[in-house]
Amino acid sequence: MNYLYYPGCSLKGAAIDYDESFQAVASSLGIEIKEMKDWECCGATVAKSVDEGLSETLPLSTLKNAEKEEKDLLMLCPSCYVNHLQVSLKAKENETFFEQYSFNQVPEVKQLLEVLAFDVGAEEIKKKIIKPLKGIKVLPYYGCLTVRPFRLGGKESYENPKVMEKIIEATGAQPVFFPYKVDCCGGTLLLSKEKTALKLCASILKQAKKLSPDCIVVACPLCHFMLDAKQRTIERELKEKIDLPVLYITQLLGLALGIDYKKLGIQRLVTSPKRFLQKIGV
Amino acid sequence: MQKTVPKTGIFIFDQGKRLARSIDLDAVIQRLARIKNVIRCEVLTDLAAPLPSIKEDFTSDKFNRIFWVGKFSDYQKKTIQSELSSAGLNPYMYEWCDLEEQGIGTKGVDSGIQTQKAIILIQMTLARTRLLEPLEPLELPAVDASLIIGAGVSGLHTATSLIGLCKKVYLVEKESGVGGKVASLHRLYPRICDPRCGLEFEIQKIRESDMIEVHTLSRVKSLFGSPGNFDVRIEKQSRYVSEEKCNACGECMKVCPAVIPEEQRSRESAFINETSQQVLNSLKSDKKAIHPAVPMTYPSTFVIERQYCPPDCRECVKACPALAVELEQTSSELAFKVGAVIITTGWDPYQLSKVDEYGYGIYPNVISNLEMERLLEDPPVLKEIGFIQCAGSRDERHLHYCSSVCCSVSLKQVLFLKEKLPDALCYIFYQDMRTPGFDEELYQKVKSLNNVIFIRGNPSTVKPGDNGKLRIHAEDTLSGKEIDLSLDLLVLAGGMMPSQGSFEIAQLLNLPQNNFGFFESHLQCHPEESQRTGILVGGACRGPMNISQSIESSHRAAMEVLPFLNRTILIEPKYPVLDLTKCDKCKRCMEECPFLSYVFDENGFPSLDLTKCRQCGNCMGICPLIAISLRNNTIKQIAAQVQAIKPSFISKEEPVILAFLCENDAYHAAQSAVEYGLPVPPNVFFIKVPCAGSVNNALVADALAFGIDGVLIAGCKDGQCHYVKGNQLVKTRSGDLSDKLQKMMIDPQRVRFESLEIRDSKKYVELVKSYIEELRAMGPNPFKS
Amino acid sequence: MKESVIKLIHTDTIPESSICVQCGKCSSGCPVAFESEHSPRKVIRFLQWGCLKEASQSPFLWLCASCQACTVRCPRGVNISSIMLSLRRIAQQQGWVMPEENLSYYKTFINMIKKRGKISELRLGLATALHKIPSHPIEDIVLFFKLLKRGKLR
Repeated sequence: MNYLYYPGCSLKGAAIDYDESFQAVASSLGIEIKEMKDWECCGATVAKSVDEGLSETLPLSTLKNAEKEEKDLLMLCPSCYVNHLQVSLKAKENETFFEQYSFNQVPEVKQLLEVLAFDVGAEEIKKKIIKPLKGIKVLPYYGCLTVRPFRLGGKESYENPKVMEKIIEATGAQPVFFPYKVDCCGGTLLLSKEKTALKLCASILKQAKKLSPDCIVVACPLCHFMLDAKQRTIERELKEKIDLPVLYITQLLGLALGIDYKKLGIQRLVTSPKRFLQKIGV
Repeated sequence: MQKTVPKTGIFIFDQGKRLARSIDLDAVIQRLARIKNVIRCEVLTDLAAPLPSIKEDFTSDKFNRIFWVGKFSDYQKKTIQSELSSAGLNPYMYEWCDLEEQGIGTKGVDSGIQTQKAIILIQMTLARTRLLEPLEPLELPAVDASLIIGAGVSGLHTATSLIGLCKKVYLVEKESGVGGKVASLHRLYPRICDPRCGLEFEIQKIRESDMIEVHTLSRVKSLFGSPGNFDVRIEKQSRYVSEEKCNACGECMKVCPAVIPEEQRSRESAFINETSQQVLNSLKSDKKAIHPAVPMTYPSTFVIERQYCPPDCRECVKACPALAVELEQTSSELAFKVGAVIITTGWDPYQLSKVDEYGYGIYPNVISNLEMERLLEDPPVLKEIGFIQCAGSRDERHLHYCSSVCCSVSLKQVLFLKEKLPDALCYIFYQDMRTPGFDEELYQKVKSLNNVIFIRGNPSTVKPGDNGKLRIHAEDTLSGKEIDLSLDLLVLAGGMMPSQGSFEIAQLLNLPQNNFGFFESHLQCHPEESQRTGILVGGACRGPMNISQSIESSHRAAMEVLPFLNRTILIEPKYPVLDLTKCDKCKRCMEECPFLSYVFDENGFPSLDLTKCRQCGNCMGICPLIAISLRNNTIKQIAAQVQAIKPSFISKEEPVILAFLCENDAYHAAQSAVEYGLPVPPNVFFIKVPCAGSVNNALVADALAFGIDGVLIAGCKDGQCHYVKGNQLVKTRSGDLSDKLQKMMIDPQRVRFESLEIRDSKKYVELVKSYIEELRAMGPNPFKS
Repeated sequence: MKESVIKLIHTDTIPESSICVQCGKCSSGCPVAFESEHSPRKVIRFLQWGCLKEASQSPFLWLCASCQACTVRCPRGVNISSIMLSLRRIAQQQGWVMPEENLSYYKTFINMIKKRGKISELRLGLATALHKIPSHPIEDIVLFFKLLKRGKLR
């Protein structure tokens, strides 16, 4: 398992802890990565909304890079993943882009959850766990773009994916069935339609709170920002206390693998994870 | 084959002297009289008078074959046929030649040309007539029993139809009892009757008949042979209870300790509340390991599902007063012969767990419409119930088609529900309400009920609400307003798909299925067919339908099966014959036969099963070595007709076209073109063929090598051919034909394939005209002498 | 609807919408369907009538979060998300964007990519806050410092 790792804008910005925790756990799980140095933004939803050509050129440059390196691409941010995968699928249909460029070997594009669940596998992960998170209730939240529209390489359900639950079980914790796990948090609207975005996020947090988990776990930097960083704002909107720590899946894994919490960027979480860390004995 | 000298009598019937107006009949007669072995050749203006002398000449062997030229009504034809038969003339020893349908008598064509064309037409028929042979139909012995696979409503009705006609029936069913899906329904609309009532009515007839053997817990293991003589092997699973001794007293059930566990319905127990628990309870079955036959108790013998028995338990053995429990029973096989098979394997509900946005299998109070029928027996107290129509139907991700009955079913369920729970609030989410025919009344009735709300809008997902209720969020597309509901129960109106049994049988018997897995042959005209002669289909295994339609379908299948149950199968003598000396075992006839009528014989040659053959001639059309001929329409006969066409009847610059017209459709288009007085050009001669697929490339090449300028082959449109795909087979051979023609230095553009429907007379005329133009531009055929 | 001419529009840039039967499943599952007077189903309906301008001026367009819930659930396979994005582009190309829609966020984002090839969330967040005051300004300022302290702003 050797990948070319494309971080994307968020992973080097507000989601720096996702990047840190991922790099910390990657080698323990046998995932070898080479981080891309000169990468370009994938365009998110903005490029597609303004200029179709731009929305293709941006991921194209990353794909070309990966073709040169002869490696498959690994992405953590689901938005980057979807954008790159979309262009790579077009490339597979032998399209010549802008009448100039066509690929010889189209690189595969994978999202972290896909790699963890199918390339590494829950069984393998379980073997490497040093500190099983017994008695901990973890609520997995997928958001939109992890499963839609590509279903993590076509292997998962749109409505009831189970990859995160499998990984959570492998760490020894108990996953909670969350009926809103694939509902949109509004992340893409945060800066353009703030009120609506907060409304969507509030609904997710409210429903999550009802199930009283010890923490929420996500795989998307935008979802994380909404649920974690904006939690205080939402508590004001709802006029009710949520107080749920939101961890990245790699952070949860890292804790179960016995890695020092500082190396996992857990101290960077906005909503305090103190109670959670105490519960697991850190 | 005896070498008989063909002595022909030619009789031109010119009623009202119409032909004489267009052609010089004297010249015709003179020309024909000169031909060797034409014994009599005359013009008749009346039929009754000459017939006795014709019969006399035949019986005294002056001639041994006749053909009639002219227009004859059906009545006239019948009269002639019966008169000649009484004189002993074999019906395959005379021909009919209608000059007018080939364009003779069309206004504006030179009389000289018409006369010459008439002579050629008669010579064509003469060429064919010379090669006629007396043919007799074959009678093959057959078994007058039939096999019915599946004992649901369709199977039961087919069975009672046939035993009512004193035909023996073997009814095979895989469950322990008969009744199928209908037996699990609650009540039917409009009589508000119990569906088991109607089923019991048929079962009673079966009970009292000694013409039927019912084999439950049985499956067909193999089926070989041909219509009239199928060899069937069935496998019967053990019942573990003796059919001779058990009288269904039920003592065993009282002591049986094992309850069959209910299928795990709800995966997420967090969502169970009082109401959903009641729903789960209503759907539980409490069946013991030993129980009466299901779904209906015919046969009356109990059955044990051994996989649920505790080890070494013998309670039932001890308790049975009749000593009927036989735990050592093993499965057995039974073999028998039948004349025909009817498949009535029915349907299965679509697996709603696949429609995962609705939470079926996750939330206990999301149920299917079939489960709702069970719930209606004794519904718990429910306040708000929702129905989602088209769940998993009309959906490209699930069932693409509409199952036609689910709208009526949901409406019916609302009606019954409101009778038992008058204060319940019902919501029906629909895309379209499809209640055809008299079910419109049902729709109006339910609409006028209190507290029933119709919402045109498909909900997207189901989420758990407070207190174990279900939250539905939808858009009412008619008002554009947002709907937010909290329901106690959600019923998904799922669709019908072909049953597991249907797929198994399709595999076993190599039966074609349509895109959706249902059996299909020619849906419009022959809905009961399966594309395999002697094997018919009835009921929901053919397509989604309601109970009355299933019953109609099964009666139709029973009717169509009767010809195979007469103790003999009558084979019309026009079947294909294979010349083994020419055959090189290329197997193309076997592959192209639409009904799989050829099998290998012991030497590896194709052997035709006469009972399966539909005599369409597609094998004759494909054989690259022209080794196959239909009797009475042999390659030699057609070739002789082709060779009789002399292009010199018309000036050299005028192209001559030979058209092969399929007798079901294209021929009628040409015939009616003349009847309507359309200007059919005289350049075309046509030959009727049973199917466009029966035209062999060799005949086409022959025609062109003889100097004919163009050949037209016209058949049915795609999907309309009554022999499934005859017209398509012609097109697929066109590649071979082009190669052949190019080798012969003939331009492949001199062959055209067209489709003509039965009334396409205008199209026919335009086709011929445009073809003539094309051929004029190409210039005359270099092989024209 | 202003146009009275009925015609179906199939252009290269807008995916197929004629097969939509208006079942409403998209609107039912859309998280923002009822945040404006238009739902996704309505927008598709405008397209079916050939009212391209009306469709591309719909307030729904800029509320769409591109969550794809509509697209994966549509029983006819209409690519609703793609249609919304196409309409956004057409609205901008044709100059039909309604004045009340503030597209400063989009403009800032694109400029940043064209200049640096990457997005700085800090700059983006600040630029947007300047154009439109957030709904909880105090919370946001507190958050700004928290993020700064935790090294999340580069």
